[in-house]
Amino acid sequence: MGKIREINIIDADDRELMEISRKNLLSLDLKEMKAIQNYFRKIGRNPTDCEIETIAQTWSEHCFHKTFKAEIEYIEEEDGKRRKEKIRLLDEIMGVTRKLRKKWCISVFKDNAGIIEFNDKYGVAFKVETHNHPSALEPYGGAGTGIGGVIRDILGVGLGAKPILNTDVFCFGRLDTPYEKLPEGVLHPKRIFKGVVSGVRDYGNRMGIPTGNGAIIFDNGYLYNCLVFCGTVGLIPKEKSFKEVKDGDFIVVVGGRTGRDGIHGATFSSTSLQKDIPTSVVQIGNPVVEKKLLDVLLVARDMGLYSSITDCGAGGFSSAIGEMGKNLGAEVYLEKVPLKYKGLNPWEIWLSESQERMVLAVPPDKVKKLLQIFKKEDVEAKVIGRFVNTGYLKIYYRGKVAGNLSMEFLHKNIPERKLKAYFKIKKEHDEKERKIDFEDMVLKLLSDPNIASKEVVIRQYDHEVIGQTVVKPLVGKENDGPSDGIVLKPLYDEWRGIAVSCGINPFYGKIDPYFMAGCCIEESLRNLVCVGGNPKKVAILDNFCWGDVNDERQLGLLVRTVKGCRDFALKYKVPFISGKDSLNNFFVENGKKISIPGTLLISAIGIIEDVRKSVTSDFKKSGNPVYICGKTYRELGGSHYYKILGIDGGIVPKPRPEKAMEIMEKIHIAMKNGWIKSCHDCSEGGISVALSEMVIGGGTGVDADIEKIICEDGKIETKLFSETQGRFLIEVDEKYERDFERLMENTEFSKIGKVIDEPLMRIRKGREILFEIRYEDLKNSWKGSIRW
Amino acid sequence: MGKFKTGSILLRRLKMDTFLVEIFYKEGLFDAMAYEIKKSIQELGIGSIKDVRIKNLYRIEGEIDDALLRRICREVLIDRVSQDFKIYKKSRGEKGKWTVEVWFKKGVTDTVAETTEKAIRDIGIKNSLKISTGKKYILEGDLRREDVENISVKILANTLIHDYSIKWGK
Repeated sequence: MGKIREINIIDADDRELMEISRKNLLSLDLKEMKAIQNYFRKIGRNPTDCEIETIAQTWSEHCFHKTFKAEIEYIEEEDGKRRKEKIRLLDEIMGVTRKLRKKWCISVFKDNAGIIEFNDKYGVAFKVETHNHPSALEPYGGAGTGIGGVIRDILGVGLGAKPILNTDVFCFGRLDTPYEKLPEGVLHPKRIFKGVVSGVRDYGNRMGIPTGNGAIIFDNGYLYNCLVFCGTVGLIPKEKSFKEVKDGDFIVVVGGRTGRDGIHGATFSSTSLQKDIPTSVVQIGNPVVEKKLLDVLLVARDMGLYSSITDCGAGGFSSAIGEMGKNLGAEVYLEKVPLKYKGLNPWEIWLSESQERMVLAVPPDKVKKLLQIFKKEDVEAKVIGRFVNTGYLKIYYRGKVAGNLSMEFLHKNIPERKLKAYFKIKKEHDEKERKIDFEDMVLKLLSDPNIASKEVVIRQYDHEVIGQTVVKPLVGKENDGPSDGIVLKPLYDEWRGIAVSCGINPFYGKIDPYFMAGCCIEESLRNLVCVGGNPKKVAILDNFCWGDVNDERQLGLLVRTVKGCRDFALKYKVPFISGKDSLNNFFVENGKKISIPGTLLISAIGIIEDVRKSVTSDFKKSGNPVYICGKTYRELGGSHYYKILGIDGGIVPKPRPEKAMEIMEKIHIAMKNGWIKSCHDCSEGGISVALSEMVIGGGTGVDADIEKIICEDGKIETKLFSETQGRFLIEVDEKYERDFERLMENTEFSKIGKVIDEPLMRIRKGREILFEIRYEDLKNSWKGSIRW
Repeated sequence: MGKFKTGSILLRRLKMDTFLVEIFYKEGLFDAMAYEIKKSIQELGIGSIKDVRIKNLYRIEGEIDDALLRRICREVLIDRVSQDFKIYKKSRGEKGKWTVEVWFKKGVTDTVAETTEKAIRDIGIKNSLKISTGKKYILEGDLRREDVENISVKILANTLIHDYSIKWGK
């Protein structure tokens, strides 16, 4: 107890080096271990446990993003021809933002979250994190601490933003998976689902932050590794957007106490899941502590009591203090850290990932006042060291030196990885037309868990708290129709609002991840435009969740996705402002690696000039004409229609940015003019599902003629079920029919029918009625499949 | 916030002791959590489950006696409208039923216990007390031990952070 261990690496040979890495859960490869060995040989001593752990955390995939910074030799094969190029993934993503030069981007890629301009006084910060490994093992605690962590990211951006919205996206295995099929140590998707949802509910609701946007994907590729994305949006006074640690600032730890929980989270989350996992990697959240921390921090921020702040996430103090003191140096006295219980070794204190803690840099003349305020609010705050300009990170424990590392070595000398990636572009083939019962298919699509109502989940989240939600996650006559995005009105004296949406579709990625990236970006954009967002003022976040990136083919998929992100983001002119990758999501069963489907989540945030102009997806008034904007192509590859029919092939949807942008810009104008009564984007399930959902929300009917749909071919299945991008279904106020048509001139659009009183969806082919489905049947199918 | 100056009572020194408190809903009230667990058991394919009841467990160690514990139960641990409590020295089963007790493993942060300790201090009781929390599930129906074992692992406990024990009440 309380001991500092020395680790003999100076004399170790290659095999022993790897053994040290494995035994201590460092997740470092031989090249990295050798770099460490060289450093310590040069200074002529062995590292302490604190030091080697600090290096492992700082160099971990989780903290340093080795794969995204690596030089990758990428080979792309098409029609037997091979193209070779060298690529760095992070440069590609950040290059988009640099090239677009949007003036309203305040802080991008350098802080805990990205910040864009909201109005003259405020900025909006947005960050989305993943918490996959912990959620797979302990769904409730894992998801809860995921939310807790991303909230602290927002509290720690600049000098601290006020969290105003949480978002959640999950990917699970199919709920109907038989128990017998699961290998030992893997929890059933139903259990994970329930645990994750209640974890998010309990943490988010108790923090008093609305949870208002999300998605849930079910696919058996996620059986062994579920994905949990947690996002938070915050409001920040513009002048508080930047921070800088000053020489002589005190290091103050605030919030929760330090215990043994969550040790090795960062290095652990950079490896694959296996059967035997130590208890200590699990983190348990305490939202009540974090809520108090949030309140008092914002007071201290407004009083200007600290010069920098960051959250204590993965890697604990080692990465928080190491990162803050990167350009200076720091001295830390570990015995001063408030502990949950006795008996922690110095390295455990230094590494612990106990939740609800943050680190502040406080100027000497403000420490007294800061400690006073925290005491008054019953939140623990303790000075544990100082930032000093020595260039060294010095860790002391009870008078002994527990570590003394050069910041230069720690942050600048990280060995670069060289990786290889390979992707073969598959030739897409069209499938022949299938004979199906349309009515039956529409109902099947509506009850497919990926499309079906997530009301059972949404209702557990508080999306009304703080009273800023304008467009809610469920909309319509009976407040149970689908919403394309959420709209908030964050200031009481201004009509300006924030819209948030997301795009995710791993099914397209199974055919070609390049177009998956484009589709995800466009879907998030379309969703924003549907609720009233301005397509010219949208920023996006990327989250990549990938399998085994040491496998050339898996990495090839990732490279191809990143290329898609780059190309399409440039074409849609949307900058990335922040992002996160979670790699090595695979499970080892009988020596075989099972990777998750490569998954990209795009989260979009936009500004709405006037929330009173916002539109929802439910049909409003009988007699109003209904339009489809955008041409339909035969793009059924990866569609839900093919999924139900069990067809793997087909042509995957290809985004057409120029056309889509023109349509979106015009729709935005029509919305500002108040001509549009309802608007819904066509994505999963195609036009048939989108129309059904508008009926479900509106409680009124629609009469539509598919002959009127502008389509590449005449096949009914294409018109009803194709998932072509760039399409919107729009109900226009009949008074403005002419104005709308004049505005849309020169784009591909057509009037396909009108809203009717009779509560049903009637699909005609010219005069002939193809099928009719009653409102109750649509609703029951859509709402009946995911029950708690 | 922080210290409660008024109403703070310094109790006479009490002997060290350990108690187990069970908190449960009053007869006839709907317990959503128990209902949910029963459904999960049925979904697991065990249709013979007839009823599930849940009791919240608090193990309280420290300078405490029966009278003080009763005060803590009434003022901190229960919702007096809907819940009631019972105090034991040792855990026990229920006749003709299976009981499963689930506790956190040593070293896992028990936030409910932390909050309870604070709440007790906040009502002015400064005695040194150590609390841990758990859950007791009472399962009724024609179940074999293997069924209960299966239910425990798949639904009631996550062995990564929990210990559980199964008892048949004779």
